Amino acid sequence: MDEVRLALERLATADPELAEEVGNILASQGPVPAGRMDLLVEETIWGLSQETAFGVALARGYARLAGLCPDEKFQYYRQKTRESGLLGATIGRMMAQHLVPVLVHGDDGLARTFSDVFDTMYRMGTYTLKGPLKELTVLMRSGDGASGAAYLDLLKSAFSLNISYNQSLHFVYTLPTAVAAFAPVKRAWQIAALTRIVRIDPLLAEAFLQGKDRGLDLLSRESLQIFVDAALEKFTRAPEQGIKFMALDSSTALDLCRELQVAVPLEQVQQTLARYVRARTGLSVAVQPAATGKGVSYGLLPDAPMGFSDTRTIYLSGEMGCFPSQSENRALYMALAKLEAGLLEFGTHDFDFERALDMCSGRGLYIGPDPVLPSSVDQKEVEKGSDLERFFSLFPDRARAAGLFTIFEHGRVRQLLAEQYPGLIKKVLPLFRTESRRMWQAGEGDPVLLPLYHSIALGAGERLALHSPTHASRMLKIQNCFEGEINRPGKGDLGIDGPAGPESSARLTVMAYNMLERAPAEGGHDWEALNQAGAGPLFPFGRHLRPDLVYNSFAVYDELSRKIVEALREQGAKAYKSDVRQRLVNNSGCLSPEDLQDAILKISLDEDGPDPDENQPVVDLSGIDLEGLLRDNGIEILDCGDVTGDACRHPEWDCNVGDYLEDYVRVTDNRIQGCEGDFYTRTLERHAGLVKRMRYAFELLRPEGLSILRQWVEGDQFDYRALLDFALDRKAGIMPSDRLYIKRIKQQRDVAVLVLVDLSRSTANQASGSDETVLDVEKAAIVLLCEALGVVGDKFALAGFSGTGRFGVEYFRIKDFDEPVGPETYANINGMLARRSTRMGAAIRHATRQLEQVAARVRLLMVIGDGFPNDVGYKQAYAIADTRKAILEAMSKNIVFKGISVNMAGDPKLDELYGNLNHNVITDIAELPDKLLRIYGSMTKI
Amino acid sequence: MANDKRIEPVAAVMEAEPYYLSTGNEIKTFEAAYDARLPLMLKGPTGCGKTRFVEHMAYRLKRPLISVACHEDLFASDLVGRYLLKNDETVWVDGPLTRAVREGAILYLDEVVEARKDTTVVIHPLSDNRRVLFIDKKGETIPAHPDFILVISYNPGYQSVLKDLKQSTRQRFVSLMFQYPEAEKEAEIVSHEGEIDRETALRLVDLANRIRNIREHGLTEGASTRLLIYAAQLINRGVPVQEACRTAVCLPLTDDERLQETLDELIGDMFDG
Repeated sequence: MDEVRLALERLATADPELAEEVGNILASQGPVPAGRMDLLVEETIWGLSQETAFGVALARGYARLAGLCPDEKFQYYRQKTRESGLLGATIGRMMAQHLVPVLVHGDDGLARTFSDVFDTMYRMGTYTLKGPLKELTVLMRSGDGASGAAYLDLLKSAFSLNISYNQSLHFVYTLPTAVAAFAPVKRAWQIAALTRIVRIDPLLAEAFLQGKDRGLDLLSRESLQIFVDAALEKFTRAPEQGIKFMALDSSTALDLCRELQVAVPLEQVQQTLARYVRARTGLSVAVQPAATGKGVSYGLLPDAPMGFSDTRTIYLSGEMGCFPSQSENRALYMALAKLEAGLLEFGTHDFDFERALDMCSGRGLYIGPDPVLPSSVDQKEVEKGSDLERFFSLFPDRARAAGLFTIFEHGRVRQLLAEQYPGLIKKVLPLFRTESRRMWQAGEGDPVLLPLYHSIALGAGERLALHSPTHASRMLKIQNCFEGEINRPGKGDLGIDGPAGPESSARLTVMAYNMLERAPAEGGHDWEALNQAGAGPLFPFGRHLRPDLVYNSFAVYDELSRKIVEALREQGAKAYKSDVRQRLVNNSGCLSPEDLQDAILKISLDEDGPDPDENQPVVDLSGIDLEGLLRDNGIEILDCGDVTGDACRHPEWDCNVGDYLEDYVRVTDNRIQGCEGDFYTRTLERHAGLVKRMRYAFELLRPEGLSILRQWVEGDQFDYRALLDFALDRKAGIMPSDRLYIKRIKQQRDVAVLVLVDLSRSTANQASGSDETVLDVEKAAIVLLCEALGVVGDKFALAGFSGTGRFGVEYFRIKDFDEPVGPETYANINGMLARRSTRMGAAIRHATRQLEQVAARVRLLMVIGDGFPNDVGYKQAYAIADTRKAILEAMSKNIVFKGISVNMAGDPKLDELYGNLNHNVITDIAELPDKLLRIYGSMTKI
Repeated sequence: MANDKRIEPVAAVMEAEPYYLSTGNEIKTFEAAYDARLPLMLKGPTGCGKTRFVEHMAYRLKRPLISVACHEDLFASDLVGRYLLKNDETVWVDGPLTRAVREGAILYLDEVVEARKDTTVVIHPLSDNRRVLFIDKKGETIPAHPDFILVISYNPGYQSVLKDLKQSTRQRFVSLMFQYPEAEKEAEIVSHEGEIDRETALRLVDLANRIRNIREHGLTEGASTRLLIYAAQLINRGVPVQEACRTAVCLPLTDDERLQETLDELIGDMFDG
């Protein structure tokens, strides 16, 4: 240790910061063999004397190698850095930096290849070193040695070519970027294919990279080889065609690629799967690739098949390539989604820890090797995490418990699916059984759990052959337990009628765990390995449970319901958390006292058994202030009677989930508080000139024309052409038509318009270049529009909106369709005030609802706003997506939409918000009154 | 001069009772309304049993039923009647409405919103306390037969602005709301009408309920009871279940290929073989 300290002190005299950094690196490694520290310091000082950056790179490099690698490598490093350093400090630095990961993660051969490649690239030019070697370091550090070797080979091939400066410069950029973009599982052989192509022609390599983005990356190793063979053959015959082919720029190439392509990317089936799940379960569930966001679980590769779910999302692998044909892979996706949907449908994610414990103790079951009563366990178990995680934490070996639970739970759901969807089970299970047999024969998976999974979760008739007879009999016993539990006639959990819940699986887990615990593990099996990364999938196609995700998706509700249950317990009432949580989720975070009552009563019914004769509630809840309890916990009280009155609920589009959040937003519908004043008449006076012009223009909009309908059965005049036909027909002995008349009908202008004004806080800002606020100008514009609409005779309504948060959106009616413009309208317009935020989607949905009820041929919704929607939890992309969706909904109901943005410069995002043809920007708000009339006029011209 | 002559035979009272399963107290309400001679409006989605209900009531009340399916070329004269040429003579022929008014039948105007606006004018005086029919071509006013009653049906589902009933029309009728029956009853209806076992009927109803789940994904209406009965009848005649559902339920509902795919999957899962 002294040697290290002394050396660091010496280094500190040269560069104290560097010495500290080296010290930190060394501290994270093992002991440093004697002599190395001296070398480190000497070489560093030599490097520093050449160039500071070189010295720093050397110090870091030596420090990383000092404790880890054998002497030869250490010496090799010295030799190489010295050699390169003599060529120049920059070269030396490159070597000092990038040789390290090669030495640490690769073998001797790789180090020599590296040095070889380094020389080649150096000869091409120093500029070729930096970018490509940086990517190599990334690859080596990620532990992907095979790709690293392939990449070195690629670099060597590319830079040994006789190419121009520009071409080599191009390679310096494209090669590392391309390699970084390859999917990790396919990287090594994709690089090899690229190398093969580069050797033939650099242009071909360029084409390959283009082709990769167009679909070549979905090919398997063998298919890619076949494709490249075909392309190269074409290239030798006609280079230009070969290049086109490689870039997937010809139809023959596309056909071949499609033919060879077996992997199916999730995007291709995502919508189909989501729609299917929606149809089957009626729940809003998204389907997403497992690799994004939620990360890789249990050491599975991101592209290995897998399926898991939480309450809102089904996660599947981003690409499916298990089978040799596309249709089979597609079918596997479907199968995984179908089974996962089963978990959602049959309440796996509603698992309740307490209920499970009650069920276990009710049967005198104990957990763990030492008999511990669950009630005493209750105290020491972890408080955090989902109910399932808490349940698993009761077992000394969590992984085994989790595995067993998965088996029983998948088995339970399989049984339920078989009853409701016999076709599904018939189609899907054979696929999984074949896979589990394959896994068993290949020695994959877990030797104890896999056979259980095969018989219980997959319900396979034949058993996987087990070596020890005792083990086989134990298996059989567990299976009998399962069938007894799940098929118990009539009663499910705790005597409730209906199918068994996930808590039954918990009870089975306890039983089976104890049975297996008493027996020695078979074949020297290491349970610990299950917990570790890289163990591979436990069960066919990587299906597993992810209790942590379930918790994360509802952590807030989970916590709230825990509090409520505790508060209830203090008041002497018992409810299960999952029951409360379920109600919270269903009501989007609100609860009514009745909900709580239901949850409490549910238990008392469970305990006493359902008794049809007894109509009285078993528990007297009159002493408990349920409402107060809810208020104390900050939960919005859902008043059931409220919905029909002034407030109503609207959905909101969540672009992250890709689905609607039902009844998510609460909109209160009020009449605005009028305020007497002479605003209306004053405005008309002020804009007298405009009013005059406007009157004239809108008079012209009024329809006067009559349209003529010919060949009518009745009408005010004969249609002479028809009369001629009539005479001729009669002459010819044919029954003549009786449609002989002309009818003139008055052309009707049947327009209803609703003007919705944003009353957000920002409208109180001063309009630029004037002492009026934005809202004042908006109000003036509305006054003029009222006049104009009066002239033309269109039906119209005025409303404003504002609010805070999703429960507090306010919609103010200023004038309804059926009410005449009068003193009340004047007062209401005068009473418009700038208020709070803008949750535009909900307001538009509400306005749409109002507008829908009006009978008119053309219905028009105009929104006047001064910026983008913005509210609590309603920002930017999310807000834009929801508003846009609301507009599309309105348009699908045959309502024409127009957005008018005032007091802001144009923004391309406005196109996203309203749709590019549906909005106008009025930067100078002073123009609003005039322009609003023009816009309206041109929109409704006949 | 015009000959006043009826050429259509008198509408007959139904002999066999049309099957109808009551889902609420609509039969009582109808009887009460009939007793007071109030005109009725039946609202509800397509294929939920409105027409069958009227047939059933006509049988119960022992009144002949005249049904008219309305369409956009249906003129008032199609309802009231018109002069026709016959051997160089013009002959007046009563329309279905006039016949019903004279004979005291139940007149059922199916999907009345589809008819032209001018038809509403003739039914207005019939549907309030005047209970008379004006035939302006003949200058005749016919008081309605004491047993006459007017029933219209109306599907609020496709509420295009162009095709909505005017308030003045709406407010002349008492309304009965129809929905697809609840699962148990719907299954009973399907099993009776399609002559299949209850188990399969329940599955069909279950399928329909799930299809109603994805209405917002592009289906304008969910699967109707009528379609389920069709499926049942196909099954009854030996068409395999999945095939029958596809033909009778999926394909009629939508032309969208991707939606079809989803429906196909559902059917494949819910029915074995």
